[in-house]
Amino acid sequence: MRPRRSTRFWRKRSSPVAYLLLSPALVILGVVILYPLLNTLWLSFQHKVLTRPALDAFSGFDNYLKAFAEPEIRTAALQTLLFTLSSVGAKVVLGMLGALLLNVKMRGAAWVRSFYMLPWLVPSVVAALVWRWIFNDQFGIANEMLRRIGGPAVNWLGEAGSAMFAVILVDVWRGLPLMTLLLLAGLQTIPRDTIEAAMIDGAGARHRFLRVVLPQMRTMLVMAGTLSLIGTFNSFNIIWVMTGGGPAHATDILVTHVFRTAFQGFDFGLAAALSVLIILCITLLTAVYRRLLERREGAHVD
Amino acid sequence: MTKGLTRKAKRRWFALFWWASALLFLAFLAFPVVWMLSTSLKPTTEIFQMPPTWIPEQATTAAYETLYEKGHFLRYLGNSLLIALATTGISVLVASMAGYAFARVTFVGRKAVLFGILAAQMVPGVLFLLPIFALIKELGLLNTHQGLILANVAFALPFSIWMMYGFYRHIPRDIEEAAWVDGCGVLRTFFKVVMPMARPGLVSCAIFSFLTAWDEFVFALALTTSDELKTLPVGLFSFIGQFGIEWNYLMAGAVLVTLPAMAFFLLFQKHVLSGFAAGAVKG
Repeated sequence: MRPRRSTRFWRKRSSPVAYLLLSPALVILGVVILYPLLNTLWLSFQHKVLTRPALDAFSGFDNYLKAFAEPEIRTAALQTLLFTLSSVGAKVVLGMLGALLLNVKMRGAAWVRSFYMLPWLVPSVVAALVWRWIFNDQFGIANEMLRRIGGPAVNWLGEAGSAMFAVILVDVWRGLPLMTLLLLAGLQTIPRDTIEAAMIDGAGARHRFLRVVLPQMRTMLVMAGTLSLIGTFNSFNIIWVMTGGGPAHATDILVTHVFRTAFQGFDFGLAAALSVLIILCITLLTAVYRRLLERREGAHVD
Repeated sequence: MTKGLTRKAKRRWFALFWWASALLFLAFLAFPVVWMLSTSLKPTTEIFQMPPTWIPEQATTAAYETLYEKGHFLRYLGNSLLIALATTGISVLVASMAGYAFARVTFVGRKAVLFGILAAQMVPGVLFLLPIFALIKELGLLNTHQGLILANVAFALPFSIWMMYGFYRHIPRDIEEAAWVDGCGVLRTFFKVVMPMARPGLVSCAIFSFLTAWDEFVFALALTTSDELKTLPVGLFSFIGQFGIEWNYLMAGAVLVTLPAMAFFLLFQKHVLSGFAAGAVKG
């Protein structure tokens, strides 16, 4: 009863003020995000290649058809799928284990938690650079560690398979802290005793863990997974600085491909069409995420 | 296996297991940072030494000194700080105002706008590089810090608005209504009463904006061309060309780019963790 009265009070009193409060945000987002978005949409229906200005013209869905037809783009799409799914999968599994670990009350846990967050604080360009040095084929520490256990010297970033593995590893490394943080927040809504008993008591309790804890975490896992899916899909900096999409496009994902199409191929129309397709995918994923958020809120009404 | 053990013994085994797993995680997460620090303290001869050393045998700060002399590092640092702090200030204020309005008022299309903002947060900025470049050029802000700050604010805003929206929704309305009844205007109530109550939210929002601006690379690379305006990540990237394979210089630069972000985090650690979880989970 009371909330409704106060809402009405609010509405009557301050609607104009609300718009005043909203306007700076809407103006900035309108100018710097919405306007470029519309611009991209418009550009995607144009034939516009910077190096051939004479051919500029409206071209309908040509760019979109090209986007679906070009084999290079199909490869980039498949590699995006491989990169994103492996990275998110690893992050969810390791993040769940990490969250269970950090959720335990233990002397020294605060220290562990601080160090655990380290990779998240390393700017992405720096992370990519450091790992490039780690994976250096001649003097890198990765090959040195391999050598000590009798492994072969690997030309990490120079060969297709190992380069893909390397960029996935680095993405997992940098994304794990945030994933763990999200899952930890979810874990903290479950009574700690339940979880700890399951971890300490072994076999019988492990079943309890699977039956009690995991089901409660399911929405949270899917939510964090979706969020991470979107973030991973967009890992431009790491791939661009580590491999530039190479060797021979082996680590090219859609975002790096768009960048190359625009700034090395100067085909702005095609790049715009690809951007629109990517944005559509992301909006779809965001809608899924939003639905999950709402369902979760429905479950815990405050 | 552990059936016959007492509760206490089980606890002890569990602690051992816990520490073993924790150290395993930390080894993976921390070793690149250790390696970065270690390389930055080596002389050039030692970085090409086989087998490599984890702890520098002839530790030296030569790489840092060279960066200081040749690399314009202080200038880049100043630029990065200026841009990150300006971005933080503007986006915290703007997001706080917008988040409050979204939390308190219903209007037609509110849900759609909120969804649009959420989607905007998810879209990678790189895709907008071209039109934003054109826009900044039209505004006459190409090769200025203002243009870069504007772009950074726009990238930090969506998540910040969502975070603040989440915070204000959990602040009871009674207090502000009492202030109105006492004759305090809506705007004054917001700035004097409501905003201070959301301080944890403001701090998380500030951290997020700061880290976003600190991490930004592609736009800084595209929107500024003169050396005086470069930010740290761009400066570091240009070192790759400048210092080639002298990894000790590159790693010294990497350390210097990372340190301010770490300092910022350590200062506000408590707020970051709770705030981020709230922003992402409660929505």
